[in-house]
Amino acid sequence: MSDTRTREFEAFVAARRERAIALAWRLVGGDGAAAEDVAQEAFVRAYRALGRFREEALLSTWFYRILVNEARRYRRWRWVRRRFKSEAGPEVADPRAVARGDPVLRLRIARALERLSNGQREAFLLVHLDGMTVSEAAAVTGRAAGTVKSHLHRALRTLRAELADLDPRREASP
Amino acid sequence: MTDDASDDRLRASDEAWVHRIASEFAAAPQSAAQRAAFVTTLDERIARGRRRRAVLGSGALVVIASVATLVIVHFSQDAPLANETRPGASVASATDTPGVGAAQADAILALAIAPETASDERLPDDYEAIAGVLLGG
Repeated sequence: MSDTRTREFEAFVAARRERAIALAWRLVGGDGAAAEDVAQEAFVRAYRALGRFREEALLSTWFYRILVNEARRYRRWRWVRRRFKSEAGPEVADPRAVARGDPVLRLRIARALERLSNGQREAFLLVHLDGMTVSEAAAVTGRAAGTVKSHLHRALRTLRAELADLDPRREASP
Repeated sequence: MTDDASDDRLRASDEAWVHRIASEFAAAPQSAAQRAAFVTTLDERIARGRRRRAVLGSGALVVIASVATLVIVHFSQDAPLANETRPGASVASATDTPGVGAAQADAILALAIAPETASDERLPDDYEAIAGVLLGG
């Protein structure tokens, strides 16, 4: 691996660390410690695989694909752990999981997102909350753009029904 | 913007609602201490990975060199077998030695079944006759 590429990657980590942790936080359902672990693992894996990085893919798209895969791995592992421990309720809030906004509202949103399918949740988080285009989200999730659009549409419809009261215009009306 | 910009563009009625969800469901920015801890841990993990790969790489080189040495020594010891003047003994040593290559075994077998042409390897006539009776030849 050339030094130039290593330096580029270090600059990339510095520039994207905050966004990577923020995206991981949403993908794992609002767990701060898990988000940091997922982001760390994604950066380490990306660094190891840097030599095999294909130039035709944007470095950021390539990295976020690794991040999404790490988040999926974490979620599978958590599902298995909960199943074996028979944990029915939500995870105990991590002390480091300091987040913005109302904690009750955050939990409601997290639960509504958890009820979506993986594809719908990822599409909604990546496109509507993280600001990716459908093409970018498709590349990052490894799904066809048409599938992502379909997931987006269904996610929006489901969440709109469950969290309709969060519409600021509705709150403003008497 | 890409061609699919129209597909991911929200309706005006959804925009405020999505914006609210985005602001409510968001991680707080890392503090300076958290950021430093994250970077330090990441650097340590990457450095540890580099060291591990270096150790594994040198270990692999040692293993490859050892195997190559063993193979060379093994074949250099077995080389005289091809010139053995006692074919029976050659076959026995070849089959008793694990790891002998198929080509080498074939060569030894060919020697074993080859007609004995060297005059000094022929038995005297009376011994030949006795051997013929005993072996049913």
